[in-house]
Amino acid sequence: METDHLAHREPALSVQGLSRRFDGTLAVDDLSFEVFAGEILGLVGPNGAGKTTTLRSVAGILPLQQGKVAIGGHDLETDEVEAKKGLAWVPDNPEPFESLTVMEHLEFTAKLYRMKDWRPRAEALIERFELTEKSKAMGSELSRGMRQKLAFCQAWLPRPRVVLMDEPLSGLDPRGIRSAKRAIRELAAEGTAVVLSSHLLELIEELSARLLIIDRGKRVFMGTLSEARVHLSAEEGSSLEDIFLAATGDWREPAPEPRSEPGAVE
Amino acid sequence: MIGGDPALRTLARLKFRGALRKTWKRMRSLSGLLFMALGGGVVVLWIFSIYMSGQGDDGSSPFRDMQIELRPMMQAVMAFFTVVSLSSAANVRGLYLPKSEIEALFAAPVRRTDLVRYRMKTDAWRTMLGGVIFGLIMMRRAPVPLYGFVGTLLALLTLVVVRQAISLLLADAAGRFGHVFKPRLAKLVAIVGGVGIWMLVMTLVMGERFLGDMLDLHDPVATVTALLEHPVVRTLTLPFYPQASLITAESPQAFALWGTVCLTIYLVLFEVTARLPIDFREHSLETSETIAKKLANVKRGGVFSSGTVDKTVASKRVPWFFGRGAFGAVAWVKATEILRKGRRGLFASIFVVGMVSVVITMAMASDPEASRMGAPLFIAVLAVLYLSGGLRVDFRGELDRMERIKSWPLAPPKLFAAILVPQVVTISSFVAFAIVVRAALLDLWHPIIAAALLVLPFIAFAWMAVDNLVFLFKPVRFVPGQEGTLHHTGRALVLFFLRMILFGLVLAAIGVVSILVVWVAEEMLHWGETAKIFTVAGVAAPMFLVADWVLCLFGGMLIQRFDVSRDVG
Repeated sequence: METDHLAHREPALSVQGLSRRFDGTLAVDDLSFEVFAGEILGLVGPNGAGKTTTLRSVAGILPLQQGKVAIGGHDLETDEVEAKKGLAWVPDNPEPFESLTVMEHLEFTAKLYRMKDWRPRAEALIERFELTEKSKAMGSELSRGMRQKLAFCQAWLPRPRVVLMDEPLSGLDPRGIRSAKRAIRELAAEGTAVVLSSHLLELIEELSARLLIIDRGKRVFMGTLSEARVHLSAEEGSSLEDIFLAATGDWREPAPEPRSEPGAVE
Repeated sequence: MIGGDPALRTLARLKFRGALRKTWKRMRSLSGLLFMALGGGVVVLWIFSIYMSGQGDDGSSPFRDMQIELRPMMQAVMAFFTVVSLSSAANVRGLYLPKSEIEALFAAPVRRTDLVRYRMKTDAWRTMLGGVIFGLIMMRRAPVPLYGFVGTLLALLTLVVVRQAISLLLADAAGRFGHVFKPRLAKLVAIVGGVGIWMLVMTLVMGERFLGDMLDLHDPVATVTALLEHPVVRTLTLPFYPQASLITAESPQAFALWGTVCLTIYLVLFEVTARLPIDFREHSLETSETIAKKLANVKRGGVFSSGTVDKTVASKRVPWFFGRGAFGAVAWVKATEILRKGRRGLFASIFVVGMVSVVITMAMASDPEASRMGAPLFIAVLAVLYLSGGLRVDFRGELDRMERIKSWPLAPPKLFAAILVPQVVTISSFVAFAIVVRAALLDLWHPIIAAALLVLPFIAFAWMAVDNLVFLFKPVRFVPGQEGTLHHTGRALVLFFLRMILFGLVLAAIGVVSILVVWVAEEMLHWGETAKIFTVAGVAAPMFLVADWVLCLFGGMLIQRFDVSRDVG
């Protein structure tokens, strides 16, 4: 197995038996997984599969109803602040503080993570994510893509052990996407464990060493892409999209579009 | 401890600095400066009027002269405020954090106790403004104004902490036992408590004039004193004895003693609340989401937009009242919004129009001629003025959709009319119904009623069109209590005058022609009263129609120039 070498290492993030219920509906069902330092785990699943709920639970935004989460060995329930010191969260629609400038966001983040001498790294990140011209702009003045870039800067700044990203590339232009992909790779290379949730399967395929596929809150598959091919009896060279559809049990071809007269109006 | 997490202190400092920066930015343009100055002037005048309101002609305070003991009165005021806080705490369960902040702060490495401290401290700053106003009211009534002011501020700050504690405890109770405090019960408590507070504040402001003249109590002093000395009231208000004693302190020694006691209570309550072992995250996320939706609804303006649609109502098809074309389609969407979302607003409006009719009828009862002729016109004017604000289904609710609306295949002037027509028809129908029912019940028929009903829809359209023109010219969506209050108050004042001037011009043009018609009918044709009334109505209606058409043309122009990338309010 390609993942055997990971078994002997201490996981940066460990999730055991996580379950989450909303008004009687089981959104996450006994989910367990581990992510190791320097690894990028791709989290995929259809709409409503429980990806965001999983990430929000692991980030400590939602209280844990059942299960254990440990970040860098610190239990999220019993040692919450220490656990969160090793964690950064990039939501799918980052909403910055309206009246704080870009640089002030980073000042606040540095204070949160008790960083000293944070300014050079902050300036480097602002430059790297092409926010230099906007460093004095307030949160309310940033476009969707810029808010996303600011969220990256905030996540990168404290050099966390684990970064959770929910649809991190939405709102970015092609240039921003390329730069974000490179930054994610470099972040992992620095030893950070990354959990990347996205509908962009090519992104997951390109960046992630391992996959976690969930459906209706349950773990359907976890492992590398080649393991997935074996596990799901997919053909050699089949894409992640094929594997995803196989795993989530949806092989149906889309119905042909109804023919209509050109220019017809109802 | 009370200082809290340094990162959250930094956040509070940065946010304060950001608010100042935004204010400074607003003031950099001439219009911004003007709006700010006007808004500031309004607020200063308001505070000054509150401060002076307790003063009699000879400079005395009517409340102080009433010989009602102030301390038990203050205890009662505090008790009422706490009851109202209980009801608002039921709606804000857990710890309220704005939607834009909540995820970032919950995922951040800070203790939940520090988040509670942070929230209570920011709430305390917000309470200061209200505290200053209420402190000014109390200043003139307290034996020593400074003690009254300081005591009131401290009492209100304590209330902030009590409210937060109740929110947390209710969230915990709801988590364990389900919803223990039903929203309807909370609303009832809020209404009863609100009325109670209003009466107490009015008593403080107006004294015997309120109790004796307005409430018609024969011996107001004795009644209030008896109420405050009732054993049940005394027991219920006993926890507020220290705050009331601080406000009514008469010597420096009493002030120092009760000040120390109150400050200790505040600090102990603050720390105890922060350390309550309650995981509020789930309820806080829910509350934050609910409040964000409510704020968005308030920004859209009007009662209709905040209504929810139940499945039974949604399953009933709304007829296409205004035709099957593109105009009819747009009007149909708005009519659906009125009939499905605004049921509560519709009922409230029927009640208000009914009340307006009753009050005007009673006020004019002694003059039969005024009751027959003047009352229907008064009812029409007041009801249209109220309903156009209360039953708002206009462009304010469409601001988020302007991009799509602009792309619809309908000429902009028609689009402008189609958006407004359903609201105009609804309001005109309500008012017409009220006038006709009143006339039928009291047998007060007069030709002016028919004339008024003929002109009413055109006038109502003109009023709402002018209102929307000004809104589209300068779209502003503002929720009271949010930042930029002074700036928005000033701007609202300017826009109000602009609206009145525009509508006044329309009325003046039609008025001049109507006077000419009456003169001709009277002096040259020697017509009777009924003929004159119908002639004026017959002339005014088409003139208003022309005015409405012109306003639609302007509306169309404003829709065209509306910049969706900028004008988002």
